[in-house]
Amino acid sequence: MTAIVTCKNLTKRYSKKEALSGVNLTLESGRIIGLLGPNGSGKTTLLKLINDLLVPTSGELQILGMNPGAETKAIVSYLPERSYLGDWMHVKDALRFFQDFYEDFDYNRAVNMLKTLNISPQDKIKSMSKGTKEKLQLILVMSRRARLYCLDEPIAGVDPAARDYILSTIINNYDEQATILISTHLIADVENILDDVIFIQNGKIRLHQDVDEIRESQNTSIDHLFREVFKC
Amino acid sequence: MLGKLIKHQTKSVYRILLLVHAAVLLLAVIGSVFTFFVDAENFAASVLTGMIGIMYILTLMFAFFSTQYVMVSRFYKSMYTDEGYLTHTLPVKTWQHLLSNTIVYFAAIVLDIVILTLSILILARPSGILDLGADLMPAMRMASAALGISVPVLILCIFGIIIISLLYIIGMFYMSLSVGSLFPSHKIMASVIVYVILYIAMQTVGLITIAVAPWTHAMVNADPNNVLQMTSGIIQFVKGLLGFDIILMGGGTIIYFAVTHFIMSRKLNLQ
Repeated sequence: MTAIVTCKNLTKRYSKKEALSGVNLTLESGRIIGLLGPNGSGKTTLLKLINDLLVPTSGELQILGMNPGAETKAIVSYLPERSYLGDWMHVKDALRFFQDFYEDFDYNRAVNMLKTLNISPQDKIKSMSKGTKEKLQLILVMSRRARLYCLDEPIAGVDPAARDYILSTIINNYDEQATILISTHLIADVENILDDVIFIQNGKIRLHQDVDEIRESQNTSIDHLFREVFKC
Repeated sequence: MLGKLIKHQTKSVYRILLLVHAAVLLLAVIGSVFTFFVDAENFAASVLTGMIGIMYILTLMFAFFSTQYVMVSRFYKSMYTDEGYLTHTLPVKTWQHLLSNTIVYFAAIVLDIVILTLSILILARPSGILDLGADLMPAMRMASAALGISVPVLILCIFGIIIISLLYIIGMFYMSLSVGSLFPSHKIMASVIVYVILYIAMQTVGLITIAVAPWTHAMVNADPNNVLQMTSGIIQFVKGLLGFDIILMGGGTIIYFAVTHFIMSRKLNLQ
């Protein structure tokens, strides 16, 4: 299997706080990986570094052998925790935007997914509810045929029905050659779709293992293991 | 990619810019038509003309301020707020983001100038335009002769200075916003403070330089009773001042954009 992301002694420091500390990590392609950890553990920092939204303090991070930059952004599809579409946009503007900048964007797939949610291309983003905006963003991100999908807390802050929709969208649009990296602390909802898990705490990797191996060796669910490992 | 960035950035601002500038032109047309048909001796008509004139000036000022506000806030929102997550994850280099924003901002200011010129021409009407033309060319010839350059070169210099000035203004806004984004809180207030500090600093550098410059002394020390000496002193002062302004603004522009690029590419930290 090809390594899609490699981190060597990756460190990110914000003035006095070390958000990531000497992280060594290799993510294989074709896997759905859960990046799990409590709040402030470094999950979002790692995702931002992969997406060139932050610059490492020291160490190395590469995506398919390339440093994060314009070339890697063409093959990485990122869903941040925030609502990032401009209020001035209509849905059709967002579709056109993604189609213009990403060669791997599947316009028809996006339009079909929007139809199932009764979201019209004429709708104004400003008038959408938070949940609808999140679904729209997810559709745009998952309509790309990227090599790596980075989803930061995709199911936080949405109702259980919406969570099921989001997870099924992820699975149904998943290319087996691609890697999906999902950051979340709602483990019970996602563990059934995960191939691997990474436990991260205080900027350090606590665990990186295959989900089936954990279940067999520990005889427990990932959610239960998480609670044990990160017990307050 | 640069073309696509310019296209989408233009899409995000063109509606409001077209609206305010259309209002300026509309008032110019109303004013021109009104003054053409109305008897200037009539008191009520004069009052109404004055009111239309005031509305035109206010709308013009509003259009100028709107342009600055829309372009500056668009840059800030797309680069340093939540929209930045979309902008900075595009497969585009940082310099392309900066260049596309600058081009769109520059075009918006050019639109301001074009609308201003058009509205003046509409208000002045053909006779006014001819009068303007009749006064302008002799003035240009006199200026070019005094500076020792041809009229086409003078026109090129004027355009060059305008372009550098506009880029300087844009660069100063961008750098202020970028430096302000580095603060953990009150980022916009920090940006305003940085802008004010920069403005005062550059004005101070300019004033001190002018005070000690040899071209200033040439003018100040000229014998006021000696017309030739006085004229020569003034010409030296103007040449020196223009040259200095170009260097100061040119250098400042380079620094502003370099710092902005550095912050966007190496110090970005979206919340």
